[in-house]
Amino acid sequence: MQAHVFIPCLVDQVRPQTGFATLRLLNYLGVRTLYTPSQVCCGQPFYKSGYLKEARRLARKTILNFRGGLPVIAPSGSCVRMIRDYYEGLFADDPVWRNRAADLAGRVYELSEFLVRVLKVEEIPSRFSGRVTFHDSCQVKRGLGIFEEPRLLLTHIPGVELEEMKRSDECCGFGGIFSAKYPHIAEAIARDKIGNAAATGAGVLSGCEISCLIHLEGCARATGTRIRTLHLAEILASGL
Amino acid sequence: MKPLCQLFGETSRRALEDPHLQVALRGLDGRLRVQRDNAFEELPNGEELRDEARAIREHTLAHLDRYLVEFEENFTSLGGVVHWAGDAAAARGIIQEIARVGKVKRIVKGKSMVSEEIGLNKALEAQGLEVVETDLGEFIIQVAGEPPSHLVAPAVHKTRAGITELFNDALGAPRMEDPEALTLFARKILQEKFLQADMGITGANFTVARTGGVVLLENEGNIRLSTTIPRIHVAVTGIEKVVPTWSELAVLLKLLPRSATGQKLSSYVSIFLGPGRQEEPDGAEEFHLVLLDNGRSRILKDPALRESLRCIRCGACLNTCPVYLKAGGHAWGWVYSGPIGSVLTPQLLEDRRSASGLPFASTLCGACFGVCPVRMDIPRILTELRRRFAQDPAWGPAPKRERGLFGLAGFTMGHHHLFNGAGEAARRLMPVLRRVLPLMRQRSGVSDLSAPSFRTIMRKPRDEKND
Amino acid sequence: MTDRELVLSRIRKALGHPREDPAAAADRRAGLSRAIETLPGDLVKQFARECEAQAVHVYSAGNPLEAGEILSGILSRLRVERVFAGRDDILEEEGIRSRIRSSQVVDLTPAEDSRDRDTLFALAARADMGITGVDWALADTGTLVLISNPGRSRSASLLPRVHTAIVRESRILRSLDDLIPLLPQGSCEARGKASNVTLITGPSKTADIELILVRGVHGPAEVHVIVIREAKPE
Repeated sequence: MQAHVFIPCLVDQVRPQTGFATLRLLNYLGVRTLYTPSQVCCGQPFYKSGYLKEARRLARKTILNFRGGLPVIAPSGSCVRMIRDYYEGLFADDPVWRNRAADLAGRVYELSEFLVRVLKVEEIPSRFSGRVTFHDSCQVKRGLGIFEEPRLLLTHIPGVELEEMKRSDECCGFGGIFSAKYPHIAEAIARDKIGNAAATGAGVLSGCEISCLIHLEGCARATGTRIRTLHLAEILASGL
Repeated sequence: MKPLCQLFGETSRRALEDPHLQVALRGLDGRLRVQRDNAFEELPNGEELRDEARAIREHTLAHLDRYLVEFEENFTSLGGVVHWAGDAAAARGIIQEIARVGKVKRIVKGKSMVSEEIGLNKALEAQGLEVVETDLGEFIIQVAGEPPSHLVAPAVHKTRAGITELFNDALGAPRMEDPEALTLFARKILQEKFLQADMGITGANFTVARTGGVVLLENEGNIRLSTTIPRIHVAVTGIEKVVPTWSELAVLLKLLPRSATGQKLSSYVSIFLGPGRQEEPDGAEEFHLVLLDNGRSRILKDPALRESLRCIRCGACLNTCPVYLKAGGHAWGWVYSGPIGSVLTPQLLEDRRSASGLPFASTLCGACFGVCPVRMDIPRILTELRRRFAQDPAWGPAPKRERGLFGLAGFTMGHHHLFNGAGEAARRLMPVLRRVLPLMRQRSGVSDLSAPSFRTIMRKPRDEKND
Repeated sequence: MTDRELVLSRIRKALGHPREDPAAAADRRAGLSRAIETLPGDLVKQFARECEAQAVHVYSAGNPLEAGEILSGILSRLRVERVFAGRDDILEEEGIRSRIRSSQVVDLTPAEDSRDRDTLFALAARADMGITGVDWALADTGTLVLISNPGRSRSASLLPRVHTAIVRESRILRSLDDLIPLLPQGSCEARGKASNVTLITGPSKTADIELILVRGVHGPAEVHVIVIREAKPE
């Protein structure tokens, strides 16, 4: 099968290895991945900050970029949620674009959800080993209802020891523009999260949302906590 | 109280450095939040009840005029008096007049956020009346001269040591850090006040249209005392608090105490059906109910925001909000704090702009939505408020510089070459930027700054492309 | 324009066109209530369990005489000197009123036609224990339902530090949903009846100081309930 890969801005610019892991993983599973370097931001930061005009512009470009009916897979819960839950609403007064938005919304998937629910794959021969704890990002768990899927994938890796942290679904404190406006609170919230993660004894904190992981990594470094963050894709693709 | 919402950043910063407050906030998290979760776990059909509650509130709001008129008819036929107040000034005036006509000198008050919203105490004191808050938490903050920091536990930010100090300084109490002793001390003082009061002022949790019933929930007993002993009872409440019949009330009574503190039912639920009857030995002889608009009908008019009026003031959203649990209630600078504070303050305040930072005091995590008994989609409302402040001339718009920045960012991110170029440049400049822009210091979560972007690598003629 | 007209007109303008009328809601809610009702079983046992969860002391008596004995026990154990009682039917039962009128305690209960409020409240405040009957009780929350009446001051279950209630088994309902149809269904009905229905669940309490639970803030610190397990025709 063929599928588009949608690489979130932060993965593109700051953690490209997550993008490459995603490609490796999907290719290994027989998915012929299509990456269009002309793809742009899904528009979420603008939508969430109240700048709908800009969000709409980016949404139109995104919709056009992925037209053609193929599934679109993203290693990001928030981008998928943006498209799935908010794109149509952006075009409430424009039936043509609303339909296009609905069409895209119907075939966009977060990575773990695609693997487990579409490809029906749970066992991936990743060579990763170590104790891992998992952060349930707000947009992933509350937003998309994805909670079991990453765990199914992780627990099927023989080398992985999954240890749940206290309040795994508590917000990490990033919240996009929130951390720009109130960084001191964002940091304080992250410290609790890192504390909970470190208490599991895990060397790796994983998740499906790169912005959370980058935020938490920053906190870990600032507090001298010995834990590193790794996107689920990178754990799964290890050794593939 | 004078709103200080624009100081959210500063106040929250101080809050983070206050170890006592942080302990108190962890207490809310560890106790009230957990108790609420446990109560809902034990409750069969809790989710259906919440759906029902949402439907009840939506229905009532959709027919608000009808139900308010029905309530008025029935309350009046029971011997009560309904007063309509368009705004805070009108409400104050009404209550001042009732006090004047009733030759009132001493007033006891139950906890009422609406009365704080309209600045009632100050107005009555200016009239020469003694107003004593009788809810223990409200009494403490009245003595301290502070605003409430939580909907349900208004003095949660104070330590027993602080309260001991306060009581000792202001009331000549002996030093006794034991909460029980402190409570007993307050009880003695307040019992005297109840016995001497001419008027009791309370809020109302619900008004029941079909019967003219007025319902108040509490745990302490001060509301019962304030409405049993004084001759005059004045209840002031928002127009949105009406329910059609007992049947709807029962649904909300199952949800409110559980959501607030995890209790199946509050210690006391007082259902009033007009003033005390002639042949009854006690109860108020006069019962006045003030229906307050003060901006609520404006919210009602707005289909995207009407949902804000569903709130039954349980406080569950505060106890579950990661931002509130760090910043504390005072950061919101007004009567309502936490998620509901961010929802209501920008909509109720005259000077909306002063509250423009509040919708951004949220990560939009949705935990509040997850516990709201009436299923208020708070993240959606906050996103809408952000849009208003950014683009709607009636609310903002946002300062030119911010709009310019977002416009530029939007343009850049919409053009992939520009975006990539900007990204490459920023990463190269990161060491410099970090020193210059404080917010960049956070971004030390970036692993390797010198690596090219995914896009750049993919564009290389090597065969990393999979087509 | 009065504020009333102003507020109502704002609301009507805000709502625009008319909406549906939800008569179907009643059915749906009835179904929900039935589902929520706990398992069938001994109401008294459930009531006792819920009371205990609220730190309410519950006692079981086979008849009013036994109840009177239990009451005596409570009075002496707590060293009660002064009581304040409501003039409830159940307290007039043989074996109960005599305990209240005995030499053990001083009965501050006011005379039939005493209408002096200040005296009433002063008396109740001086009492160590208030004793009342109840109109109903709710098993699923351990709740006492007191409907105001000419013979019983609300202060009896409010001002003294201890409140003792005597409940006939037949007055115990399963839940709030069962109480609803027993309340006045409209203001016409209510007008001739009580002005106040108070639901009491456990002692007075607060957690306002550091979220630490303290009992007996303004209302009673202790609640005792004596259940008379005897079917009595109403």
